[in-house]
Parts: sequence; structure tokens; C-alpha cells
Amino acid sequence: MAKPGAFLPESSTLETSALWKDGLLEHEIWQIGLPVGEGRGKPPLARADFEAGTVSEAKLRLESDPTPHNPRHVNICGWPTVKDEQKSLALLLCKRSTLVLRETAE
Amino acid sequence: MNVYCPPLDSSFGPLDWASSGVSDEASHIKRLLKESWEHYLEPRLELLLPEIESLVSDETSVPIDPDTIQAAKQFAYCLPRFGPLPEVSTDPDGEISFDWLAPSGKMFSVSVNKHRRLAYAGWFGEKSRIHGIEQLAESCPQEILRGIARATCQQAAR
Repeated sequence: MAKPGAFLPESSTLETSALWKDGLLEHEIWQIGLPVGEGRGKPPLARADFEAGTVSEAKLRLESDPTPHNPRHVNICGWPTVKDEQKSLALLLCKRSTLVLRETAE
Repeated sequence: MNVYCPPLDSSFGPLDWASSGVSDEASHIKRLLKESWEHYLEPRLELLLPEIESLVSDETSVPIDPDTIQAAKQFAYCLPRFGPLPEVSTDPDGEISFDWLAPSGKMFSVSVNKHRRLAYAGWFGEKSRIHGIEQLAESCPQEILRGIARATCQQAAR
């Protein structure tokens, strides 16, 4: 199971960064994630997959935010500002997601 | 005589030592409590406290305020003596999160900030979810203890 904190938004933007992965092959998904991990000094070890409908269920919304490296980049927006409400929604996303480990996926 | 004696399933932080007794019986109970602390709580803290401190040196996470570390340690002291230990991590806003993720799918998560504010959320079933705010004082708030127990009860029974 993914950690709930992985879904919490950045405090400055109240957005959670995500990737639209439909139509991508496994190795293509990890390739997009590699620079993100390298920027933090650690390669990505796992990811959490969830349906777009889960975002609606949480009363949040997806906003497209393409970057030169990642045209499939999206932000999860509409987070409440109160921390316990954020955590409650993060638990919902966590519950609905599937943890995919890199070593088992590749 | 007045000796604090917490129930077995409650928290038991060092700040709960509120004995004003001076009799032999009071001293005896105080000694038993100290032994209980050393036997049950100390080994758990030896695992949990280094995990909290290691978050400071994790260069991949956001900076953590020293007061947040102190608050997280105080929270660790207040946790129940029994049951599964939480996973500790840093939130994107620099708060420290304690997560109980049971194999049953039940989850309970508490975030501690530098003001000792505890933001918690629990998932115990599709129609059984809670969240709220508490303030950390000398002992762990009852809502938090209940949340931990609800998330880990099946785990502890194994």
C-alpha cells in the first residue's frame, strides 16, 4: 500500500503532481518518472496507480499541466486548506490506488 | 496518596508521572510503573525516535523545523505501549506523519506540526471514516488512541 502522505498536495500550490498514463507501456511510465526521481537524488522505486474517477470521488479535479519533458503531466487540484481534510482525501486516494514496485514491474 | 495508574491499553508518556505519594505503597507503585516503562515503552522508542531523527538528515525531503521534531518525539512518547508501530515520514509541508496501515486495509494517519497540532484521519471501511484536529498535551488525545486501536485491532489480535 502507498503511504497517504504521497498524495498530499504541495503546501505552496495546493496541487499534487501526477501523470496521465493511459496508453503508455510500463517502461515508458518509468522513463517519465526517472528525471523526477533523479532531481531528488533518488530513482523512483514505486508508483501509485489510480483511476481518474477517484479524483472526482474525492471532490478534487484534474488539471492538465504539460511540461516539455512530460506532456502528460497533470495536477490534482481543489484541495481543502485544512490539514485533517487533506489527510482524509489522501486516505481515499491511497485506498483506491494500487502500489506498483519498479523492480516487479520491469 | 495519589498515584497515576493508566489503563493497560492507553498511552503512557513520561509526562504522565503525576505521583505525589510518599508512602511505601506509592513508592512501590512508582517503581512498578518505571519498570513497566523500561520494559514496554523503551524498546519501542528505541526504534521510533531514530526514525524521527533520520527525517532531518533526509536531503530528499522538505526541511523540517526543529520544533516539529520535538513535537513528533513527544507524540511518540505518548503512543500506546502495545500494538504495531507506525511508519514515520515527512509530509510535503514539513509536518511529520505517523501512519498505521493495517493488512486489513484499515488506515489511521496523524500529522504533527511544530505547534503540537495533531491532524488525523482514519479509514476503517467504506462508510466508516473520520478526521479531525487535536492538540498534543501531556498525554495522547483519546480520539487519536481510539483511531489507532480501530486501525490496528485485527492486527493486534493475530
